[in-house]
Amino acid sequence: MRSWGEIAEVLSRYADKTDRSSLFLGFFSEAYRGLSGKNPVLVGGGAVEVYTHGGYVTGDLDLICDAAIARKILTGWDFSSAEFSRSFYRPEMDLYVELLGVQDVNGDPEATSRVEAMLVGGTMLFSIISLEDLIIDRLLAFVHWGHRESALWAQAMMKGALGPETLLDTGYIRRKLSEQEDAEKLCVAFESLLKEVLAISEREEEGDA
Amino acid sequence: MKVRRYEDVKARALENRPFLRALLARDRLKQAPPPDHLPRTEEKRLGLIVFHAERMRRLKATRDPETGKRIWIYPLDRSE
Repeated sequence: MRSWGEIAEVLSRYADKTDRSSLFLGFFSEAYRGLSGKNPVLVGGGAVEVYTHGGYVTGDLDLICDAAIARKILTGWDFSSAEFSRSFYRPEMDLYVELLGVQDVNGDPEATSRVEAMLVGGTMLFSIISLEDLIIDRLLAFVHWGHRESALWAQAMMKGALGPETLLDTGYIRRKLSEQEDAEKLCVAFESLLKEVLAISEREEEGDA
Repeated sequence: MKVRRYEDVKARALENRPFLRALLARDRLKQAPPPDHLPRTEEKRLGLIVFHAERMRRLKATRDPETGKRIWIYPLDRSE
């Protein structure tokens, strides 16, 4: 396992917080794989931050992983933590890690099976919730808690993935939303947000013409 | 059964009123937007969606030839 000194030296070459977080996740995943043969998965706001390349800024990195293994790695790297806590931090590097334990992504085995890889700096890899499942997660926050900001981030990610080269599986999103308890509400919200995103693209094209 | 006198309850409530008012005021202050806050216009909201989508497009994607799964390529900006 790499020493924290070695990792800190690499991280300190990057001024951008999201760049540092992404590299850190690469190093952490490498160490975690070495001990468990598995990959931790980044979910939540940290995943929005990575997908939007630092547009969204969160304070923490929520990781689905075995807490005992992760704790061993992070304490070995001198991360601070309260004895009872699942949070580990190194303030000088703006790193705050929350260990969620072993669980399914979005509480859904299919979402776990769709986890994707993020390649950082050409060599480091970490696992991240799929873009579609992250959009679903933000839609749930918007519809269930009325969190308007979550809708904006869902739309930014939809728009980012719906360029000339479509990277978004809207069929999957529709199917998963239709399986939820309040499917109708969620589907209406999704279609309305998507329609708005597509309208922006049309306006952009008209502007270009 | 314990019996409370209305006058006593009222006196206690009056005594606590400034404290309750202070609590309410604090909550209102917490919920209030900052003094220089301008409500986000519809135009600004759409602009933000476009802006963040552009940032996201810096990430390129490819497929793992074996699993068919997507691999995102995160670009790093070295500061030195």
